[in-house]
Amino acid sequence: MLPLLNDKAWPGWGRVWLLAPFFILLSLFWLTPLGKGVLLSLESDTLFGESTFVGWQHYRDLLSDSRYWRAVLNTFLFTVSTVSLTITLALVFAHSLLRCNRRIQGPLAFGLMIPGLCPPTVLALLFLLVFHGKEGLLNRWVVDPLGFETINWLSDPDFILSAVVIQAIWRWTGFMAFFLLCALNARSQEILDAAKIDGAGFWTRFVHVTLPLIAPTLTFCLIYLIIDCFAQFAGSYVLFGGSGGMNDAGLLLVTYAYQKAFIGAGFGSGAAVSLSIVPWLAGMLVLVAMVPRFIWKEGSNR
Amino acid sequence: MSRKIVSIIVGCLLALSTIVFLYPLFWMILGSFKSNAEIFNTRIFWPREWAGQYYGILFSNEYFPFIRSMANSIAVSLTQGVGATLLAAMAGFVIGSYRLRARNGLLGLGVLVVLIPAQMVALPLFIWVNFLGLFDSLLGVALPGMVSGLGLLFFARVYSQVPRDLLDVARMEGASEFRIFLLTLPLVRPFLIAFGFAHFVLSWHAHIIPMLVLNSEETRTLPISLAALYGSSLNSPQAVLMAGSALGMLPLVAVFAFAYPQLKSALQEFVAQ
Repeated sequence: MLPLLNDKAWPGWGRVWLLAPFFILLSLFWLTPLGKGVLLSLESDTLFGESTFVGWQHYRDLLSDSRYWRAVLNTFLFTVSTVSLTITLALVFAHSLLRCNRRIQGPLAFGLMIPGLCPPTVLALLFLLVFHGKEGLLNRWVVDPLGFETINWLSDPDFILSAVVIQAIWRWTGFMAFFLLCALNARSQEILDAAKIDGAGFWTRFVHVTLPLIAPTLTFCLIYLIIDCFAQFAGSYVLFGGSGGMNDAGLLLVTYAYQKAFIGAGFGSGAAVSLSIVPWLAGMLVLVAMVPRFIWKEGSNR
Repeated sequence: MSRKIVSIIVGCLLALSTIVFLYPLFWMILGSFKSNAEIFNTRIFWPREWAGQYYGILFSNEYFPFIRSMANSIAVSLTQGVGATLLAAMAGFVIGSYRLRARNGLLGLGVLVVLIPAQMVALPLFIWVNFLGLFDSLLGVALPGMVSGLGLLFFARVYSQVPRDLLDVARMEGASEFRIFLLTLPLVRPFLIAFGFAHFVLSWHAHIIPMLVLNSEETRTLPISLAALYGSSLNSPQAVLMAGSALGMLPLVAVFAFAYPQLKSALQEFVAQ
């Protein structure tokens, strides 16, 4: 086998040997299932016997499926609230980490990141403590002292989604704060000092100097979180045991695809739901990628 | 002077947030010593008596084969972590250090893989894995998990920063591409460790594909076993669940502690590029 890898025997093929394993596995375990999924979504839902070609029928059914639109709405609500809150909190943490003593900075960052190591299944288990009935921590320490009525987080349709959001925030904030901390550390000190000498306050420096400098990292964090939210399955699966929670208030798109495929209709419509996530996700990412460009344009016009 | 006070206040607030963030995990560890009644009463923090028997029950495989599940998780995540890192680094090396004509096409494919994560093709993937005869086999989970679009993009960018002169010298010496790739590995070590760690954690967390592919108790990964036990009954001692979860965190925390310094230097360098 080794002489085969020798470039002298196969000039120019050295690169191909290095590229091949990745792209072979990619076509085998990503491209093929994707193609199979597209075909599946165009076939009827017969579990036994031959399935027939039904064209766009499943997708057309989805358009008039109220549960599907509920799942779309929930997924967007979940994503937007998780991402915005996580990034805001992470920025606050990153700035605080920058400010505090170097010696405790490392251990604190390490501690904040540990929830991100917790498998979503375990995390959902733990959060039963936080959301548990009347006695849950959130009720006992936050809701009651503030004088609100006790909230039944996991069965009140108005609050189910916030339970999933809180869980996701808890998981990702530490890691995002760490990424942002690295980006903050990499800022050029000269530019920061120059802005300071010019008399720019904290907010002015943050908006006009820091944000443009950390924009690439920020965009990466946003994209990563959005994709993770759209693909979220484990957390809500454990919290609600594979259902969408009361009145489908916690139904997300991936859970719905799973339900359709294995509990309800069949593989055809399940595949259709899965694939219909892609344009939603792509649309959302394009929107996020456009934002910095938009702001930059605004700035240069001034 | 006031700067120092601010730094102390900020430090205290951060320490407080860290405690809030870690609180559920403390509770999980303490919960592994509690009876069901104590666990469901959130007013009890310290267990009344430290009951160690739940760890015994966990290891006696009464509810699920714990050691087996743990070994499965470690095997699958290690294979995926190391495999994905190597494959992505090899491909990223070629894409990043050559001006290939297909460069944009290959990177575009990588972006598509990032855009359509495995969770979204889980169902056809499951059918396909069945067809390949990998149903209920750890390989059926590990092989698909070695494809990382993010890894390809990451290493293509890392390798585009490696000095070209170095590679050119090696090429003039007549070294094969594979040998040159091996030579570059020490140069990009922090990046290898950072990516490998991230992928290891992600594979440990994977849920939907292992859940579909791994059917029998003997092949399940730890998160799947725990979720199955949790879903089965609230009457089984919850402490066993807590004990399993707590022990299941150990490998992750150990790997994290090892990778943390490398992670930091890799990220700082990557961001600065």
